[in-house]
Amino acid sequence: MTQPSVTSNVTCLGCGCACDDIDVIVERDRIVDARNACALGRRWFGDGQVPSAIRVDGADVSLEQAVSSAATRLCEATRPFVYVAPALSCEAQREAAGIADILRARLDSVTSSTALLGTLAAQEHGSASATLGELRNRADVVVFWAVDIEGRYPRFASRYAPGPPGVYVPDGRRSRTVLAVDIGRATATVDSDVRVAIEPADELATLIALEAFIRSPDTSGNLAALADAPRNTARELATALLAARYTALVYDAEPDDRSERTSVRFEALVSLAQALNDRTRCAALGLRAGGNRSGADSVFVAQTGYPCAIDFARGYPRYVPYAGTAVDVLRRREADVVLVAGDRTSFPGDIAASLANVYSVVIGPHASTAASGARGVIIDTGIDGIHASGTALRTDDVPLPLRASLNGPRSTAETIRAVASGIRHVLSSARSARPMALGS
Amino acid sequence: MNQLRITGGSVYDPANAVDGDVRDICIEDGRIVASLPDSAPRLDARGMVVMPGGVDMHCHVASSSVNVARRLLPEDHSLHPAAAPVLDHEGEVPRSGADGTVPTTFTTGYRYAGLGYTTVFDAAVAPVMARTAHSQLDDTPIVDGGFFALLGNDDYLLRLVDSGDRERAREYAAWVLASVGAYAIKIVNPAGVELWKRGTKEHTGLDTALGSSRVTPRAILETLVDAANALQLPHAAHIHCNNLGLPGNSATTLATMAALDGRRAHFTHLQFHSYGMTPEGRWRSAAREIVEYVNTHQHVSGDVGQVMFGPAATITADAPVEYLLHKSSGRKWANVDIELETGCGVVPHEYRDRNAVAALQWAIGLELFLLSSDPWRLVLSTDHPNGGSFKSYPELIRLLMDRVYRDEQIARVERKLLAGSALADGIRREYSLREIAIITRAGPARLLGLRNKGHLGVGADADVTIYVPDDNRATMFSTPRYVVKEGVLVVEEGQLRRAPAGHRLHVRPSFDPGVNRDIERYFDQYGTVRFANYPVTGVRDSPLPVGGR
Amino acid sequence: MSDRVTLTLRAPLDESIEADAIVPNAFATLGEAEIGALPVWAGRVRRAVADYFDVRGSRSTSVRIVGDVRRAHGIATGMAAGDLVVDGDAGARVAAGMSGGRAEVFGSAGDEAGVAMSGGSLRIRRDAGDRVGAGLAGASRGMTGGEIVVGGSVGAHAGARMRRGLLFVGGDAGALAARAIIAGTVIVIGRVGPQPAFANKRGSLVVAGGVDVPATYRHACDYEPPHVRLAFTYLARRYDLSLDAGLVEGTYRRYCGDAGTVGRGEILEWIRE
Repeated sequence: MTQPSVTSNVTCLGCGCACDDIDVIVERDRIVDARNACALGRRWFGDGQVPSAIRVDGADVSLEQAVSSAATRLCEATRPFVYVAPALSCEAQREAAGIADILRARLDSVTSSTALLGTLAAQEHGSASATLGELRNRADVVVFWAVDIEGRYPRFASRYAPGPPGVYVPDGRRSRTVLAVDIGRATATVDSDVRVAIEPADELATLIALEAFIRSPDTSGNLAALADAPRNTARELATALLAARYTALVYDAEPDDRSERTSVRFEALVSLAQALNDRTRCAALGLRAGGNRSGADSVFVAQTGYPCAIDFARGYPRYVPYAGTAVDVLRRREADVVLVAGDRTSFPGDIAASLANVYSVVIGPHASTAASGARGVIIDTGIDGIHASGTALRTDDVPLPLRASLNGPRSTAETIRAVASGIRHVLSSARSARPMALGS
Repeated sequence: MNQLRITGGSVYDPANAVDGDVRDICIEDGRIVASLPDSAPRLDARGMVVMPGGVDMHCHVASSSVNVARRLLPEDHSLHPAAAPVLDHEGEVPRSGADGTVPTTFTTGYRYAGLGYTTVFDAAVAPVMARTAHSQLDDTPIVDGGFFALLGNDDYLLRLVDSGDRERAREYAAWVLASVGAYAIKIVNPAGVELWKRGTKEHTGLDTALGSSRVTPRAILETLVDAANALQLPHAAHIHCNNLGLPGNSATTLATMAALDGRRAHFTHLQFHSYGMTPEGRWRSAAREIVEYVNTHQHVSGDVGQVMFGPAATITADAPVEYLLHKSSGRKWANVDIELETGCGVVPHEYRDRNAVAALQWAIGLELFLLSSDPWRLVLSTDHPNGGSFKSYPELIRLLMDRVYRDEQIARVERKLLAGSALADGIRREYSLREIAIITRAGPARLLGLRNKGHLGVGADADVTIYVPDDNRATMFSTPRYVVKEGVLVVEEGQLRRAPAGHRLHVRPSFDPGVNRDIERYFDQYGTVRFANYPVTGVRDSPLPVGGR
Repeated sequence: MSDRVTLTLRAPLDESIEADAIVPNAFATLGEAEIGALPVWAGRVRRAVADYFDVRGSRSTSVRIVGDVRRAHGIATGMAAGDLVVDGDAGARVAAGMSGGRAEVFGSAGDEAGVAMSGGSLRIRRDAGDRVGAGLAGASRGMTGGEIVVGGSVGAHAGARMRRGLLFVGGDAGALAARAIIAGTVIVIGRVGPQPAFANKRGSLVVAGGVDVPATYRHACDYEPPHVRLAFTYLARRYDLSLDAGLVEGTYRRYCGDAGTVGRGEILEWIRE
C-alpha cells in the first residue's frame, strides 16, 4: 500500500485569486484531495488525470513527428494565428508569443473576448489599483460592484477582504464596512453591511453622480435632472466612501454582460477610483478568472507592448483590438493555421466554434479530448501547476510559483519550445535553400 | 578556445590608468587576458576609441512597474515599432517589439547593446514582484542585468525600525536580497510612500514620524544604509531621497546626506533632488550646494538623473510624486499600491525646452556634471525613462564634451528660472574621453562593486565597446563600430549581429536563519503569499560574492 | 513632375490590404516607378502599389485614387500636406494621424477615419464607421486638431477623447458620441445615439436632430451661441455646405456637464422653431 504524498503551498489556478495554500494529496498517481481549495479549485485540480495522446490528422505518431508536422504546417501557413488559451504558465506563454513573432502571425488570448473593454479603459484613462495584500491589510471599506464573489471567486472574501484581519483592520470583517452593489441581476454575492440595488439603465448615471459627489459634496445642482433613486444611491455611497480611509472597489473584469454599457462602466469605475484619491485613498481592482489570464497579458505587454489582439504581419507587433481579435480573425476566416496553446476546454464558446473550421495545432492539456475533426496536430500535455512547475500571475499581477504535485505528460512549455525550435529550423533551411537554387 | 585580439585602438581604461594609449586588448573565453598567440583572430581598431562596455547603474527596464507603463502607453508603442534585428547565430532568435519611451524587453536589450552598454540594473523592484523582474531580464538579451530591492517602505522592516532592532533589520534585508535574487538595497522616499498609502498628502521631512516617533525617514535610512555596509554588499544602499521633484527639496537632500555622514551611501538621480526655492517661492537651482557636498565627502556617491528634452515616461515607486504630476499635467495616471512593500506610479511626461521648469531641470543636471570634481563618484544616468530615454545618452555625452554645442542649446531654452544657475553664468568645462569612460562604465562599475566590469584589466569580463572618433560626439557614441560582450562580437560595423543571453547579477548574503521564524509568522498573519512561495528559486547564474560573509 | 498622381485600381480587391504608404506628401519627390514600388501589405505579404494600381504621374502631392478601395486600409496615414481624393469608398483608418493637407473621400469610409488627427482637413461625403476622429487604440487623447466633415452618418465613439478640433456629422451619430472629450467640438445634424458626451470635460456636442440628454447634465439656459454660429458659418463657406439658416441663427438649449468631471462641457440641443 503506497503512502499518500502531500505537496504543500500549491498555487491554484481555478480562478484569478491564485490561492497558494493548497495541500495536494496524491495517492496511486491520482489527486485524491486538494485541501483548502474551494469548489472551483477542486474542479481545477480534479484527479489530475489527463490524456497523453499525440496525433497528426487522426493518426497516433511520435512526439518528434508531431512537433515536426506542427512546425511545417505553421511555416506553410499564409495567415498563421497563435491563440494562447488559459492554463499556461508564464514560461509557456512566453514561448507561444515567440512563435507568433517569428512567424509574423497574429497573437491573441482569452483577454480579447472577456476583458478587452476594461483593458482599453485602463489604457485610455489609467488606473488606481493595488495588489490584494493592500486590500487585505488596509481597506476599511470594501465595495463589491456587481461581482459574483461566491460563484466566481469563492475564497476572495476569506483570504483577502473583507474577512481576514490586516495591519490596519485588526478585527478583520468587523473592522470593515462592506457595500454590495447589485446591478439588475448581476448580484454582488457577498455578506454585506449595506446592499444597494441599481437598475442597469441607471448604472452609469449613478457612477457619474457618485464621482460628482466625491469631487464636491455640494454638487446637487448639477444633478437636478437626475431621478431620485440614482441620486440618493450616489449620495449614500459617496458618504460611505468619503468616510473611508482606504476603499477597495472590487469589480469583475470579465462580466458576462459585455455590452457597450459595460465598457463605460470600467471607465467610470477607474475615474471614480482616481477621484477618490483626491480626498482619501482608493484602489479599484478588476478580478480575472482562472488559468493565468493576467499572466498572458503581462507576458505579451513585456514582449510586444500590448496585452492582447496583436498582429505581427509587418514584422513587428501592432495593436489591433478593434478588428483583429481572435473572434474577428476567425469570423472573417483570416487564419489558415492556428496554433492553440493551453487548455482548449476552457475557450470562450465563440472561439471554440470557429476553430473547428481551421487547421489547428493544439498543444495543451486535454488537447485530444475535445471533439474535433480528424485534421490537425494534437499534442496532449500536462497541466502547469499540477504536472509541471512554472510561474503564474494572480489577478493583481503578483507572480506565484506553480508546483508540480503529480507526474504527467510532457509540459506545455517544453513542447511549445520544441515546436519553436522546429519552426526556426524550417525557416532557416528555407533561407539557406534560396541562394543555392539561385546559384545552380 | 574563443580568442580575439583588438589591435591598435586608443584604449580608455581609467580603472587601470590607461588614457588613450594605443595598445592591444586580448580576449579569451569571455575574459580579458594578458596575451594571445599571434595566430589569434584580430579585430583592427586602428584609429578607433576602445572602452569597456557601458554600465547603467540606474534605469527602469525590467519590473512589474515598467510593465504598468508599457501597458499604459500603446499609443507610444504604435508610433515606434521595432522590427527584429537580423542575427547571425542560429540559436539566438531575433525578436521584434516596440521602441519609444518604454521599450519592450528584447528591444531594450538590443538598443542597449547597440549603444555599447553591456550591464544594466533596474533600480526599483518590489520584492514580491521579483519573479516578474527576473522573467523580463531573461527576455532582455545581451546585457548582464540585475535589480535593486525596494525596502524603504516595507512594513515588516518598519516594524523592526520601530522596535529599534537594527541587527534584525539587517538580517531581514539580507533575507530579502537572498530570497528574491536582488543585487542591492533600494530606498525610495523612505516612509513617504507608506504615508501616501495611508492617505497623507503632506510632504515628508527627514524626521516626519510614521505612526511611531521612532519610525522616521532618518531612522529607516540609517538602518538600511548600515545594513548594506555591515553586510558588505558590493553596492551601497541606493537612496532616492524624500520630496523628489519639489521646489526647495535640496534642503531635504542635504539633510539626508548629513544624517548619513561618514557612511557609504549612493544618492540617485540627484538632479531631481537639487531644487532650491527663492524667497518668492520660485524654483531655483541648488545644484551647487548638492555637488559641493558630494565633492567634499568621499563616502558619498551619486548618479545625476539628467533630464533630456522630449517625451518621457515617469515610473517610480514614489507613488505620491506621480499623483502630484498627474494633477499638475493632466496626463493619464496609473497607480498600484504593492503588498505592504512599496508603491508604483506611472505618468507619461514631456520635457519641453520652452518650459521653464523643464529647462531648469535640464540645466541642474548639467551643472551637477560640470561642477563635479570626482567623476568616479557622480556618474551618468537619466533615470531612464524618467528624465529621458537611455537612448539619449549620446546626446548627453555631447552636451558634456562640447561646450560650443552646449552653449547653443542653453541659448535655445527658456531661461526664466535659470538665474543663479552656474550654467547660465557660463561653465567652460568639457568632459574628456577619459572622464566619459569613467561616468559611463568605470565609475558605475566601481560604485556597484562589480570587480569584473567597467575595466579592461586581465581577468575582467570581455565587454568592450569600440567607437569611431567623430567631432560630433553624439554621432560617435550612438553608433559604436564594434561591441564585444563576454568575448562575443555582438555589434559589427555598427550592426547588431548577435544577441546571446546575458547573465544575472545578484547577491545571496548569508543571514541568521533565526529570522525565518518571525518572518514566517508575519507572513502567516498578514501576507497573501505563503512564506514558502516568496523566495524565487532557479535564479540564473550563481550569486556574486559578498565581502566578509 | 505632373499636376497630379492618379492611382487607378486595376482589379477589384479580393482581400484586405494595408496601403499606408499612399501618402500625398511622400509623393513630392517620387517618380512614377518609385511610387509604384512603395509597399502595400496583404497580411504578411509585402507587395507594391503597382501590383494593385496603375500609377500615372509623379512628383506631386496631389493624389487621386480611382476604384473601390474599401478594402484598402490606412490610406494617407500621417498625411502632413498636399491633397488626396478618393473617388469611391475608402477602407479603415483613412487619414489616421493626419497633421496637414486635405483629404476627401467621395464615398464612405470604414472605421477609425481620421483617428489621432492633429491637423488638416478630412472630408467624407457619405458615411463613416466607428471611432471617427477618436484616438489610437488605448490612447488617452483622440483628435488634437484639424477638421473632419462627414456628410452622412457615423458609427459609435465619434470624436472620442477629442482634445481639440472639429468633427461635423451631417447625418446621425451612433452610441457614445463625443465620449470623454477633453475639449473641441462635435456637431451632429441628425440624431445621436445613447450615452452622448459621457465624461465630457470642456468640449461641446452640438445636436440638431435629437438627443437624449443624460441626466448627469443640467439645463443652464436657452440662447443663440455665437461659437456655434461661427462654426456653422465657417463650415458652410469652407466646405460649401448648405445649412438650414435656422440652425445657424437658431436658439439652442444648453446643458452643462458631465457632472462627474470638472463639468465645463456642454451639450447644445437645437430648438426647432
